[in-house]
Amino acid sequence: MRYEGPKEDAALFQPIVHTGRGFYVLVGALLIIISWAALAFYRQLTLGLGVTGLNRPIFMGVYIVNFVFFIGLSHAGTLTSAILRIVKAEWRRPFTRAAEAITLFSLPFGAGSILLDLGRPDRLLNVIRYGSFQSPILWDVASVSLYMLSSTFYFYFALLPDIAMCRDRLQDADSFRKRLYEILALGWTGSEKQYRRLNTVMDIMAVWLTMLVITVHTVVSWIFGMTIVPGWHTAFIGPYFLVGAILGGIAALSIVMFILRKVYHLEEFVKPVHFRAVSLFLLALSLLWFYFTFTEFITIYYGNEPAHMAIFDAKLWEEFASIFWPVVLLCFVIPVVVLANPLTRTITGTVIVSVGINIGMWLERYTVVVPSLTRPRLPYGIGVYRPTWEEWAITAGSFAAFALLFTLFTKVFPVIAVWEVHEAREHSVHETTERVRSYIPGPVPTSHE
Amino acid sequence: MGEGGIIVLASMSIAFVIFSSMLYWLVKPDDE
Repeated sequence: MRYEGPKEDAALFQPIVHTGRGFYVLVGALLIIISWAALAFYRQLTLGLGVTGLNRPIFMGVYIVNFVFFIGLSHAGTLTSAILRIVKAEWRRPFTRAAEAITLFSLPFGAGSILLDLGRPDRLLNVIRYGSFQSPILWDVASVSLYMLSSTFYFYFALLPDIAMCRDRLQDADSFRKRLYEILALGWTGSEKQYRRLNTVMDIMAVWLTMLVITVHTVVSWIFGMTIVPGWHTAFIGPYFLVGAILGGIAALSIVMFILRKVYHLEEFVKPVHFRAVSLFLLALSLLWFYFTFTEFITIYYGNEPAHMAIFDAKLWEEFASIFWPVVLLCFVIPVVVLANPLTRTITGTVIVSVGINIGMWLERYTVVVPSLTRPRLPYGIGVYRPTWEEWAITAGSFAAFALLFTLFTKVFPVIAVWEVHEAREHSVHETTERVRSYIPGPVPTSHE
Repeated sequence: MGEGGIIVLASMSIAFVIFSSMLYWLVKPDDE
């Protein structure tokens, strides 16, 4: 297969045209991890949830942590692509495709984690058959499904012009690939009118998804917040979940973009200035996350209710302190120290911080889900939860499957939206100049004086 | 079917029809 088209776009199609040995090694390694997870899931399916560390009163463990984490990760797409589109932030362009792909590929593992947590996954459809709308679980099914559908269409709309480019520019492709591009392109011609329509549709979807992203993660938090479990039953849990999700999502995006830039040599398209914008975004979110965490804890402290204080103490000073304080370190202290300093706010600095934030966010979800269940209102005594190898294997498998989907995607479609780059080249400079002029009162000089 | 299931399926169906219409409008030939 070879690429025939404008030279300036060749680098964007290179990952599709050329596949090195590293790709097969990576796919092989990911498949091994997925197989390990499949074995663990088979054991869980045949032997029951007894193979996990779940017990009375701790009936939610790492699967639910994964659920909240992956749903949070999916917000990277909407935030970067939709919100930055609404505010016309031009630096978003190389990031949108990867961000939307993160959304699309993380959502199935978020929703799927609920399936893994069921002792009888075959009863999943009972949610639809017998679901009662008083249950927050059903609100979750409704909002996550709608989010998944909306994100899929949003992703597809933005992918259409690039699928057509693949159809037209990739020569000597195998028949399956040719047919795939032909079908998925839906006869896209790339006329000016179609691009105008595309921008209208994307604007509508961006507004819709911005609303949806906030409601989805708030509704996810209600699974916890609508119970009277100490530590969960707070009106603030929605925004608290949301800010963590956005922080983790943007951090994941910066890691993905760093890897893609390095592996596929996209330095010309993803520049230090892009990472600088992301790093400032991360810095603001990290401060916000800390403020929200502080608000959560100070409210509980001032309320001084014994049941709530038991969870407070467990997290801050007792058995969960060894997880809680590293979370503060990874999600607040390190990001602020590294990103507030222009000398360390480099690409490497941003990526190291992002890796820490993602580890920290996963652990943060753990400290939200598990500690509250260890000290129930019912007279159970203090619960203990230790995840088993089956749970770790399935968790590793979920992450590996997410990585595999993303890797395969990069071999079929461009990882940077080619049409967005074209649009930036052809229209954005003029449009942005005009826009800035329209903001400024009084006479504006036509050139630098 | 439970009332919850009906609400979930109805909202999904409405959204699907709206998005599909957008997609049709997006790719329809210019001369239509």
